[in-house]
Amino acid sequence: MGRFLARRALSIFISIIGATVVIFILSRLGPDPRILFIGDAQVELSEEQIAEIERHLGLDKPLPLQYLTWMWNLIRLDMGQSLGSLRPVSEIIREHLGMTLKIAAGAWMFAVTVGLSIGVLAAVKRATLWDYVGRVLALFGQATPQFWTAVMAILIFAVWLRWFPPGWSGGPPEGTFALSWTNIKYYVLPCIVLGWPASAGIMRLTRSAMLEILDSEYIKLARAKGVGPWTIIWKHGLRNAVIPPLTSAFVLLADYLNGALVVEIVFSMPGIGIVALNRAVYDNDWPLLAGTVFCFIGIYVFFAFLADIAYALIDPRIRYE
Amino acid sequence: MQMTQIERDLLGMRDYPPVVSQLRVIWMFMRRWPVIPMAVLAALIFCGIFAPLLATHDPYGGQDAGLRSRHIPPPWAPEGDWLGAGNPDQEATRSGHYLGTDHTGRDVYSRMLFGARISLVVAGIALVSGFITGTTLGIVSGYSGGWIDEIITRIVDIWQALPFLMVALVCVLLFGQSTVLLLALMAALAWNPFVRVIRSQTLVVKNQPFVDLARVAGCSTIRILLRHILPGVINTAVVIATLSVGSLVLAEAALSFLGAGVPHPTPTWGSMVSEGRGYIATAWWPTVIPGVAIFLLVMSLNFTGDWLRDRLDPRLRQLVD
Repeated sequence: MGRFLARRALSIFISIIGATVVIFILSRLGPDPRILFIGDAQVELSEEQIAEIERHLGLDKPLPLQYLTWMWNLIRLDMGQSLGSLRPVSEIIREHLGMTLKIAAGAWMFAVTVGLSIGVLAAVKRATLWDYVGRVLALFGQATPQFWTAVMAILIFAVWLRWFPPGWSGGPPEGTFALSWTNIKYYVLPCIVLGWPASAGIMRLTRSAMLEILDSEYIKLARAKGVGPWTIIWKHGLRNAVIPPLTSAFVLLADYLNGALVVEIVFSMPGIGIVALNRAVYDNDWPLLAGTVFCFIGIYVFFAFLADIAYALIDPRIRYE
Repeated sequence: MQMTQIERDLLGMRDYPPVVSQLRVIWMFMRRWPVIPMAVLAALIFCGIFAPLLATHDPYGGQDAGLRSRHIPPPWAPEGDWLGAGNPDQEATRSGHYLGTDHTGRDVYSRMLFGARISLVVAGIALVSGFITGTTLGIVSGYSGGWIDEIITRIVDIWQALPFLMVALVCVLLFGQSTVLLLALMAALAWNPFVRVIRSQTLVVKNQPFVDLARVAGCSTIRILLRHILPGVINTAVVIATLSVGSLVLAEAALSFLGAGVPHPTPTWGSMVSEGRGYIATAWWPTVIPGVAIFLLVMSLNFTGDWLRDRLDPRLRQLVD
């Protein structure tokens, strides 16, 4: 187990290094950081002033050293100063990361509960209405673009039915209890929209794993012994079928965090995605964008690592592969 | 072959009235062959190819667009004005906007046709380049083993850790929005799913006796790869291609939605949703219709992919499902 974890940790370390190198190279391929630093102020700068900016941004050192300094600062969570608002990037990210994580957590819970329960239902009641409902849900989840599902959710549930607010727009009033409906209703639509595709994946995995297990010998034996149907489904079936969907749920959601950006934009939730898009892309705020991308990479890698650990804990064969 | 009634009963065969049995034959045929997805795909490709002939209006607006003809509902919609009977002043209602007009008075139907071109061409180019790069890397990685294998697998890992949409936005910020950049981004996304599966498939094929025999017979490495390994993995590659093209279409749509796709004012489905969503409460058609089209395209691609997988390579069910 220890060796397995060490190997995985090493490969994750390499992933992070590689990903940051890609971002770093991209940053140097783009427009001159000195010009970005000056921004729109159309001023003529003297040679000394440019050299001063260069020294301030650390551009006078060789490239590998610049990368190492940047990395070292990243590890200490010092991502530089936002060019748009002149505040530390880490502060801006910390301010908005909570929102993104809340949406992601809600989406994950939705994906797992809906995916697992419908997957089990579809397998147990195979080729009945439940199965078809489940399959249609999965079909829509995997074939509709999230930005469009989000807009449709707003149109149907916020504009026509008026069940939920159409977007954040200020959010709940200050001091609302976190678990009260006034607060939760803002998160319902974003979480469902973000979690739906992942739930489709989990549902398909659960269904096929469950079907395979319900067909196995020991289930037949349990049936022959006279074990009740519920015990068979939950104790003998689901416990063994739950491994692949649960472990892949981490990776699935990490994949769909890409969609968090889209969901935040459509529902105008002030998470890091929308901050990165609005401030960074329109203001050319490079340090903020790099910090955000790094944040996303960190989240992805963390969840992928969790999935690996979960796999190894539940299924020992993985460790000795 | 004539059977007795007992034999037919034993086989579970039943007599159906003639119409029902014909319907049954059609139903079985549709379950066996992906008739509907193929028809949808063919229709969309037809629309894309013959867009200039099928379009009723200028997709870029032109003469007849303008605020006067903005947000004309489709004639068949509840808000619609069938044949313009209710409102004789509205000339535009009679001039055949089958799917209505958007917020600047451009014909949604014509824009949809030209948008189909973008979706299909971009996804197609990305797929072909991804197919070639991914399969090549997979074969090389699996066949050579050692440090080449290690490096290629690492690159795949690193690539997977990069949040695609964020990186795409970074690239747009750095290099400016262009069609070439979009194609490059899509190609960068497309190769990844191939490598791992093709690599493991290559590992199986390369241990077959005929590969050793070819080597003994003095074949060059290139020849072995092309004539002996490639035919063994090409089925798998085709299946992965059809299974992943749906997500490519979705990725292109998401990029267009975020403003990182084909530059304005070329109509794309993603950008149509993005432009229309601000007016969703007054006019739903410019937003809903492109989304339905994306859904239909992706769904029929997914169906075709599933079908092809079950036909060509059922073992992949576990790998890709």
